[in-house]
Amino acid sequence: MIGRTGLNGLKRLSGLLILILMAQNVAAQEFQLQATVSESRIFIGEQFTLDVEVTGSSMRDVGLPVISSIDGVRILSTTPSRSTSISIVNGRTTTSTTYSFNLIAREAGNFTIPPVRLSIDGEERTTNPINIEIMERGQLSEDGRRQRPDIYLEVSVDEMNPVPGQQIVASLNLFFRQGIEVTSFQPTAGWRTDGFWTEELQNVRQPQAETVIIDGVRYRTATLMSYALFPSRSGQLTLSEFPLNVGVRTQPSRNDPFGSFFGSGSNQRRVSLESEPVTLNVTPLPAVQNAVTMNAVGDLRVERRLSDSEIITGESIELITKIEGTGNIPLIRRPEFSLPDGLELYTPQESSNIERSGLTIRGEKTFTELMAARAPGTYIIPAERVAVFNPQSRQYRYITLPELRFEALPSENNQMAQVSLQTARLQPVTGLAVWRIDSAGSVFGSFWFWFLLLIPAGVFVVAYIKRKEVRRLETDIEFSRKYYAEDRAMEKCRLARTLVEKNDAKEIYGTLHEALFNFIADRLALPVAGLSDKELLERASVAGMPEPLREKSRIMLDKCATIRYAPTGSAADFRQDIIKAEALIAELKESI
Amino acid sequence: MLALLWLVLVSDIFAQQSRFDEANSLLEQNKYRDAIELYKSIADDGYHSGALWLNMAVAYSQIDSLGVSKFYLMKAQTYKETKELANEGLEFVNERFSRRSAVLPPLPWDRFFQHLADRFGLWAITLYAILFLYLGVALIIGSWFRKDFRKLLTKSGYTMIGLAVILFLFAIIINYQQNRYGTGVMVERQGSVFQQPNEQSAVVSIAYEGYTLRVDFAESDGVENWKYVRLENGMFGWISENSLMIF
Repeated sequence: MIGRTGLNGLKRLSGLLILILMAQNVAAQEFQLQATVSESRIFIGEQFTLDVEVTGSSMRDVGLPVISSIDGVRILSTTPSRSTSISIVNGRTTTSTTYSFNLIAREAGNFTIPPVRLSIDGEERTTNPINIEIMERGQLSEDGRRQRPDIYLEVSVDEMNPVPGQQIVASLNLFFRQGIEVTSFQPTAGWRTDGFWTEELQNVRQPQAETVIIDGVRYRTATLMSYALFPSRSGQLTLSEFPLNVGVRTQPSRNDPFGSFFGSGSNQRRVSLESEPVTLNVTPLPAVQNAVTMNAVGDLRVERRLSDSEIITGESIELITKIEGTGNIPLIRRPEFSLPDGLELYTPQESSNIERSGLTIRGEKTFTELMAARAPGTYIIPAERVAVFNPQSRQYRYITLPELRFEALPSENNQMAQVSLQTARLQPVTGLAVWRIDSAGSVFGSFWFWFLLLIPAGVFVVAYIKRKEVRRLETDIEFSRKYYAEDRAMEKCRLARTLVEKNDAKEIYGTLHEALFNFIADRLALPVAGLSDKELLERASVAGMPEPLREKSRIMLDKCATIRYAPTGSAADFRQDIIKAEALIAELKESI
Repeated sequence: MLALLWLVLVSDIFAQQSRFDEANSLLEQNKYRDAIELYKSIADDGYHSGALWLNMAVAYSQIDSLGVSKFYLMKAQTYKETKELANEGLEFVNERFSRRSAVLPPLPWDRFFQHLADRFGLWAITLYAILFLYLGVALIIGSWFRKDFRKLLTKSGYTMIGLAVILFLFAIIINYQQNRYGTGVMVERQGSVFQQPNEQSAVVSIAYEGYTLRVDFAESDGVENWKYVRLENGMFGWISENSLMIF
């Protein structure tokens, strides 16, 4: 009973599993992939979105979509933002994942967004390509009206043909249509103002929006920021695109039935905008006539004074030049005034105080020339004419700075200094000079350096070899015997010579026998005792003694042995035999 | 052969001395430019002496080339026989420059090696190093054969070799510094020191006539007409080669 019930249950369970697996297999194939753009006609500098949506009832693994570069468009981030929604209709769950890429239009023309690749459950899928059209701002539409985006940015300058050093104001204006509310803005890095000195003007007030009608369309506009720009050279200078992140809130359409149904009824997002570049034509400054230039442009006053009218010789005095007013204060250069001889000049100093509020740069710049009189007397700094360019009248205004003078009084210390200065004169050397010849090369490149360095190395090697030999002589008996064999043999021969005087033939030949026998035994590391002459020579023959030498040795040994027992002969014979023995030893040394 | 060589050398030196005397008499006659030409010809032939550089400095000071005068005085300062006179001359010339640079003292180790180079010279330090090396090697070898003094000889030997190694290191550092750096004197009235070796780059500082600069040959290598220098106030930058005289 239990068995039948269990069998039925198992059948039912198996059927259910098969159904679930089949359903899963069908569901795995059910997904939709599509790519859409928020706008297909975009203005240059306008941001738009590319959405890649994957919808399906059962997807286990969806990879991040990969987008390749798009002509005419800059991808703000290659990592998309992701949003997921899940809906359950009639018990069936559908998941929708949207990946959004933020893009910004850069060039006018028709472009194609290439297919976006992504992997779904391990298989690679691609979207269809999308065609887009990028238009210049103000470009005529098909119906002949100029088209402008809903929100855009513009940089306006108050002077398109300035001179170098003239202040111009660049204002950043934001235009946006009714229904768009700007909640925040944040400039991003990347605005290049090459060829300009740039100062941001400090705006006290919050930007105020006002309404304007542009090409029949009502826009609201606000000046967000202002910059003071000073061209540093003449020619065509370009202000690049100004990048700005703007937070906007758009009101929903009145026809949208869900517009105020969910949430607050508004759509808040961040958009990235870029202005169009602006090119200015900077005309060169006219030539200055007989005046000191200091690159001053604007409504500026120049004055000059001395810190004192009387100083002690050797002490410092300051020549202070002050330039103040409205203009290119940061770019003004130190005026090069003519100064009298006899002054010691130290490194000049400069300081400036600049106000950036409002729409102008104003302030003052002070140059301080530090001088010291070398000798007592009256010093006169001549009058000078300085040139300041007036951008309104577009010509130079010449300011005459009056003559200045000061008195340097003598001092005791300085008198001493003067005396020592006079005594310290340059005296030529005459007579015989010590001549040297140019030596080429450094110490380490010379032959002598390396030669002197090699000497101890050579000595060291020789000493090391000797040390090894000494150690071996101390420890290796065979080596020691062989090493000293000749010395000992020769010693015996010398002893034999002394015995010639005594005419003791027995002793002489005995000594010679001992010299030769011991020499052969020492050289061949054979025992001295217990060997007969014959045995010694046989062992020597085995050890490699050549036959003629063996024979000679045998004859000499035999002779010594024979005469020892029957001593005959004269002193001359004895000497002759000693010489023979010595020669034989020398010969043997070469062979064994 | 040696005698012949010696004779040639001596006759050559006498020839230079005679030209030197001739230039000195031109100097006394206030013919400064002629004297300079003659002095220069001696130097161009590869002969030099403290007196030659000193007299060139005197001649240049008379034609108001104080920067060049300072340059030759600094050269004369490196010779024992003219050091004192050159120091006096430098004091005199420095007083006549309109501008002076703030001076940042060199780093202690730079001062140390400079002192060694001035006091002893590279050759002397190297010879001392070789001498200590010889002593060290002799003592070590002695310790191998004299067992009774082995400990003493070994210790002394290694100490000598250690000293030799230290002196060799000093010599290598001094040689490196002498090869890498040179002394330059500003000979133009003024010149800008730029951040990069081109006139469009930012100006780091202004160098005036008589400023002493340290020229970095390694850094300047391969850059035509520009030298990378360190000013006395510690600032670095590039300066036109034509503004300087370097030794």
